[in-house]
Amino acid sequence: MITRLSLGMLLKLCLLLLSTMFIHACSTSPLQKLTPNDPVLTHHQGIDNGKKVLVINSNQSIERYQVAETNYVNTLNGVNTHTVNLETESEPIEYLQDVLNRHDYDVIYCIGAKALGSIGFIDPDVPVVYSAVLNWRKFQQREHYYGIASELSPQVQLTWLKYFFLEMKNIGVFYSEENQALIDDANHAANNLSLNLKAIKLSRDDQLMLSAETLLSEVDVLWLISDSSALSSIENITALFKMADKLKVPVITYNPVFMDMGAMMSLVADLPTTARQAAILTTKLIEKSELKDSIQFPAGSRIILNNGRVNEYKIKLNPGYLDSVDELR
Amino acid sequence: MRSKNLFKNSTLISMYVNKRLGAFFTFCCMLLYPNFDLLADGSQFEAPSLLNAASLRTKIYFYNPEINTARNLVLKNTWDKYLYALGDYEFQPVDDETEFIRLVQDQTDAAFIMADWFYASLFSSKATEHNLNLAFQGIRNGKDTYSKILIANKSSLDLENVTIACSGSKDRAKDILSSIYPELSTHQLDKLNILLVPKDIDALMAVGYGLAEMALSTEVGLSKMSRLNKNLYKDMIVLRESKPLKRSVLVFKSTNPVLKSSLARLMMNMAKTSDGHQAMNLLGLDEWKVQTVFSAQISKHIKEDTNKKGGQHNDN
Repeated sequence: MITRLSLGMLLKLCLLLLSTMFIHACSTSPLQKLTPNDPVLTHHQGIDNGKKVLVINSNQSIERYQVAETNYVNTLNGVNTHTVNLETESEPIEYLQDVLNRHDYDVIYCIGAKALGSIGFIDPDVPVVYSAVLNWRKFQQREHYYGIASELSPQVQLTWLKYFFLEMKNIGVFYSEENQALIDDANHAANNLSLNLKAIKLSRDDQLMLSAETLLSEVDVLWLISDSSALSSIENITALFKMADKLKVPVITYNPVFMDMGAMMSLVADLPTTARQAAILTTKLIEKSELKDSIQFPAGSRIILNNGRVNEYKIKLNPGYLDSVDELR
Repeated sequence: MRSKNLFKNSTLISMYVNKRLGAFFTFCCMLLYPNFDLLADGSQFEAPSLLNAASLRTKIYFYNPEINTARNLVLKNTWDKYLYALGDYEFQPVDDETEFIRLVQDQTDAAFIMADWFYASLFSSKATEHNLNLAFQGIRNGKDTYSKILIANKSSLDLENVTIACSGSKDRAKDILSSIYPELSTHQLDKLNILLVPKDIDALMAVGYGLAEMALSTEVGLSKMSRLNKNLYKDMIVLRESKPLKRSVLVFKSTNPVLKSSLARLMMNMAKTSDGHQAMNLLGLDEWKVQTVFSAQISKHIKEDTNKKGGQHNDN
């Protein structure tokens, strides 16, 4: 029932909304789109050291990219940042080439795959830093490219897994050749944590479901890692989750998107932290400090737990679990 | 050429008219605005909706820049589980400092939990002016203080060339580092690479896995690390320790002694129930210690209340 009070509030809201839209329409000129001839947005933090960074955002309308941009710019100290948004750019390579022809930069920071892909094509002769890129491995071996991985390191994921689930010892994982190095690291970490990693290497698409039942019947938990060959189709992933549920084997993943498919926990990289890491990496590049690695794993974690699934599978959780969980579903 | 000029003129006129119309429309809105309030007046005494019921609950606001705001929902759910079972109370984490300060200034009949240093720097000198009562001090393992510790894998590190991981805010981290290393100048402090991470344990893991050279953490964080990964823990060394810092405080803002004493009872009983204990744990505490002045006020009220009721003991 709409009371007179709520009617009044509703009218107020409508009127305010209308006036905002009207004023915006009145004051917006038709030539607002950024072109290569226009100066890019400039931001400055701290004491100016004369250094310039070009920040390329794949799409400023995407919240996670915006969060990355804000955290990156706020963490940089004494550096001028020029930001470009590729959101509506249908020819990003040409556009960026024009920007680079007009200005010199000390470092380029790419947020998202569109930005990194375009810069990767131009391949300018300045250091490129990137974050929020899912297929970051493609740029792992390229010279002058430095990035923050999109997933937590296998060591960190296994450490959390051991902390939360006291009785889980046998961990199953599928992987392909692209993740051999990661699995080697994971095996080493698992040994240190007294965990038993049962890793199945796949070379063909159809091998996943053929070996799923055997693996799931031998392990306490299935650990999904980012592997484009092992997890090659939605159908395969859906079937895998279905089988895991049938056998009451919990699934731990690296991306929150799997929570809706039935994962029990997601161990996710904290996006603002990855952007802050990228800023510190940029500072070190500008100062020409020695860098240990061209790729860093994220230092901040975000942990999502499906409590319903914990109860359903009768999983024993560490009693202190709540002080580390960020989101309960 | 002429048509170009005409087009330019008509565009200018159109923009001018549009802007004037916009201003006129805004003026109309402001003029009409109070009339909608008049329209609504008659309905103000209708039965409260669910939203109103929620707003009628006494709020316990929480703000601590050292606790990751992404966990606010977990905090709220855990605290509300304890509070809802005991009456019309609600926990409300606040993620913005300015908003929290506004709430402390504007709210009546509410409680506020905040870091002791935050209370001391912003409110303690104006406690009477804002009608604030410092009621409880947080305790963990029998102590009302804790220390921040600087941890690394190596003892010989040059502060200016390392990344220091820590949770909370950069300003707070600089304050603590400045107290640990008084010899550092403001310029040197500003130059430090401080990497903010969501949790204390993230900072320690960053050191353990080589993502940062140092972590500014706590004894509690280090002890958790020892349970989490013994191999990483055994390589960690404490470089320096801050002077003891007071734990969080709970402050009341109310002139209603009945409300204050019932909320006080609720807080004192927290450690006795598992839900209450879990809620306190999330704030890094395991009990509340009542402050002497507040205790005297509450006792006085209970005595007066008992006398009014004819000297009979009445717990209801």
